[in-house]
Parts: sequence; C-alpha cells; structure tokens
Amino acid sequence: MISKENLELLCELSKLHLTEEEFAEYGKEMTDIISLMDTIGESDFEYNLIDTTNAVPFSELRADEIETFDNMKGIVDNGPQTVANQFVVPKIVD
Amino acid sequence: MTTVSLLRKKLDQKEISSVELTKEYLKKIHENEHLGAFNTVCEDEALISAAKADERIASGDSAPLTGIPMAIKDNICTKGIKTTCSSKMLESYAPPYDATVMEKLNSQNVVVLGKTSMDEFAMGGSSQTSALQKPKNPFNIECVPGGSSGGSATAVSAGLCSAALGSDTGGSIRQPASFCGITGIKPTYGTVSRFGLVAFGSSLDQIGPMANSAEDCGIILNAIAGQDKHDRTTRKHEIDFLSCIGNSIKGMKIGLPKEFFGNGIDEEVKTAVLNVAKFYENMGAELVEVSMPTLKYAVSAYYLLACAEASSNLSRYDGVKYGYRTDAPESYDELIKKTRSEGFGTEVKRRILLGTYALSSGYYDAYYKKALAVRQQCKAEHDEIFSKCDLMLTPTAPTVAYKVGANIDDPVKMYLADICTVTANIAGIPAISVPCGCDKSGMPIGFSLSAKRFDDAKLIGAADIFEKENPHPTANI
Repeated sequence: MISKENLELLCELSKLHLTEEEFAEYGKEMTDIISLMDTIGESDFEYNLIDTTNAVPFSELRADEIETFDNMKGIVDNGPQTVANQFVVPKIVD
Repeated sequence: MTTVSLLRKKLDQKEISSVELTKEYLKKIHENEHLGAFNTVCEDEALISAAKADERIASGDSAPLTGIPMAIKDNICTKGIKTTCSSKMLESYAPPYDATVMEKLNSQNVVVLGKTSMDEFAMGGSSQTSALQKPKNPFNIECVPGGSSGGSATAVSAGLCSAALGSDTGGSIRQPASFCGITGIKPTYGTVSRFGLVAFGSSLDQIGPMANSAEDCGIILNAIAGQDKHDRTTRKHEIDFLSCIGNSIKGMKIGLPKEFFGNGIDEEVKTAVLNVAKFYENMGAELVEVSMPTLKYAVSAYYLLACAEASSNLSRYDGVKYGYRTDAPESYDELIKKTRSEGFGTEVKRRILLGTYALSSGYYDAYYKKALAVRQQCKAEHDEIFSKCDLMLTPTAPTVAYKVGANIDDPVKMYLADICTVTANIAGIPAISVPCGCDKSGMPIGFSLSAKRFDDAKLIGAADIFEKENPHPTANI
C-alpha cells in the first residue's frame, strides 16, 4: 500500500490537492497500479543511452530565427485575468 | 456508408455541392445529438467553408479534400474554435492558432463540421472520462465507442461526417475504430506534425485519420503528412499513401505473433482475426508465426512512459495564461493547486500522480529508465519480426465494445485492455485497424495490421484488399 506520506509528497510535486476521501481512494488505486507497473522489474533489459535505435528520431534543428506572431488578441482573450496585455496572478512577493 | 473518394466524384461531377452536403451532415448531427459525438458543432463556419469550397470546385482547382465535410478531435487546435480536450480545464479555450494539420486541411478547403468528444486529455479507452459530451457507440448506444478518439469514431460510424481526425498515444485511433466498425490508422511516428496537438505523451502521440475505408485514410494522410519546422520529430519522407492500392498481396509474408492470440483475448475476436489470416493466405500471402516476448511488459512500460510525459506536459495548466482558473486564490501556490485540482478529472489526476511517481527521486531507475529499456527491446523485436515479414496481424482489442459504466472503477483492468495496441506506439511503427465482422451481440470486431516504419502505404494497400471483399458492418441508426 502506498503510504499517505508518499501520496502527500506526490501531490505536492504534482501541484494537486486531494480531499481526505480522495486520499483513501487514490491510495488504494495507486497501490494496485504500481503493483502492475512492478512487473517491469522482472525484465532484465538495460537501457542503452547511446543506442541509435531510439524510438524517437529527431530531424535537424531549424534556424533559430525570430518570427512574429500576429494574434496577440487571441492570446490575451484566453487569459483568465489580464490587464494591459499582462497576465494577472496573486501577489507573489510581499 | 459514404466514402471520401465517392464524395469527391460527386462534388467534381456537380452531382451535389459542398454546401448541400454540409447541410445534410449538419442535419444528421442535430438529429443524433443523443450520440454525444461532438463537443462543438461549427455550423456557421462550416457553411462558409463549404461555399468557398464550391467556388474552388467550380474553378476546376479542387484538391482531394476540397469541400469534404470532416470532424476533428477536440485536442487538435483550431484557430478561434474551442479546443477543450473534453476537460473543464480547457472548456472555454479558443486557440489563437491552427495546428499544422488544420493549416494543411484548410489549404485544401476542407469543411470542418465540429470538434469531437474524447476521453479527457486523451486519457482513457472508453471516452467516458470526458467532462463534456460522452459519446455512445452507434451499434448499441448502451455501449462505449472506445477511446480516446471515441467522438470521432462515433461520428464516422453514424455517418455524421465523411471522415475524422483522431490522435493515438496508445491505441486511441485504432481501438475506437475497432469498437465502431470503421477504419483508423496510427501513422509511423514522425509522419504527421504534432504541432497544435494538445500534448499527452509526446514521444508516443500521432494524429491520424478515421474513415469508412483504408483508401480514405490514405487520401487524408496524403493531405496532412509531411515535415514541419514546428515539430522536430517529423521526418522528411515523401510517401504516396495510396501507392499500394491495387497491389497484389501474393508472396507477402504476414506474421502472427503468438502472444497476441493467447489468454485474455475473447474467443470470438480470436476466431474473426484468424479468419482474416486465412483470407490473406487464400489471396496468396504466406503466414508466419512470430514472437514478441516483451509484450508481457508492454502495458507497464507504456503507462510509465506516457504518464511520465503527461505529468510534465500537463504542468502547463496553472490557471495563469489560459484555461480554467479557480476563484479568489489567496496565494500563487493556492492558485495553481486549486486550479489543477478543480480543473482536472479523476483519471487525469491519477495519471499525473503515476507519472510523477515514476520520475521522482528513488524510483526513476526502477520505473522510468526500466520502461525506456523495455522500449528499446520492443523496438528491436519489431525490427527482427519485420526482417522476416512484411506485415504483422493481430486483434485490435481483446474484446468488442463493452457497456457504459463497466470497468470505469477499475483502472488496472482498463489499462490492461490496451495490450494489443500499445506496442505500435512504443516502437513508433504504423498500425491500421480494419473491421472484420461482428460478434454474436452484433458489435464490431477489428483486426490490426502493422508494418515497419514508413511502410504505411503497404498497410493501406493490404487493408484495401480485405475491405474490397469484406464490407464494413453498418450501424442501424
């Protein structure tokens, strides 16, 4: 069973808040899920960092050039709270 | 069943206009709102696009998809049209830009009918984790359409659009295609740009078509594939996805991995897929038994990788720049925590927690790094199989569509149901799901063909051969 302390740490790292009821529910489910994930430990494969058969190939980097984005209004309109094209957040520094 | 290729002929021969066609589809969408296929219907925009398409057709300059009414999964950014990911978090989000696939479709004057419902942030296999519309299976509305691209599958299967785009991270195009009796392909990773696809598992995600035929999938892939400067994982690889249509399958080797036909696969599904093998054998293909020993670790490796990437990708939802924001937070930390806790649904939170666990100090080597090792081995096994075979044949899903509400409280059972599809994403190979009849209850069964990277056209050609002799089942709506 995943401990409540462990789950609290995961919530903090994930920036999630769970109610007491959710803690109980997620604790049980996470324990079952992690038991399934543990089966991977039975394999004896080692990750090869320099293996060129990596599943995600990358193309060449594009030139690092500035491009203008012409829809500032579209960005600002999606902001939950904005003032003068700035996103407003609660006070961070006293 | 109306295919894109048939509509192209009718439009070009002026048997019907795009406006007339669009009105027909919109009428059908409204008549079938109970199916929950769409989060947003773009009625006005669709009719404007259709009128422009008609002008282009009249000028004799039509592209393969000009004037064709399509539906788009609600995690693909459409400029000025809501892109919700079926989440409270993005319920009001209207992207300020188009995804690359939308730019490509718009350049052909495709008509976008609307945005289709899905599992929240594409996390699920039933589309029931949606916080908005929950799509139903047109073959039996008490059953799920599969997921996560369930709305797209429902819309195509019920004839609410001619074709649709979905996205596939661990089977999210193929499994709903199988459940709803349509064809869907996950292209080779790097074929279609992910720019503007709301990220889930970036090393696994691919956009792909869902349609009434493999040929239609090829037509759509020809339109949306290609290298994109905004997505460094796209490859410069010129493919005509229709190039193998009409080719014989004689002499091709089709691998049957024994692990995909063992316990856990429904007997009716197994029989139907083995009948497909016999069909191809009768058409001149050679069947070869192959093996994929890593399959037993595939679900764990997939969920560890996908959730690790999701936990990172979804960290952007903090209530600051776009999306849902909690009311009156007292601090910046509270703003982020309450926004995320209220905006995300249960399954999304579950996967963020799992991904964070896999990446956290003390567990990274045991889980995430081990999953990367399994991924390398899985890819090596695929390379080995495709050195002996042209194609691999498997079931798309262990069962047919199940009842709404079943499995929803058992995440482990839900995850294990992805066993037949996740390896294609892990290895980055193309895979197509094609209907092969129905079970005793009348629900569609799908088979899957996969091939080595960038052999997508070969899959489409082989699927087309089967479809020509075995029509898709049709939903009675």
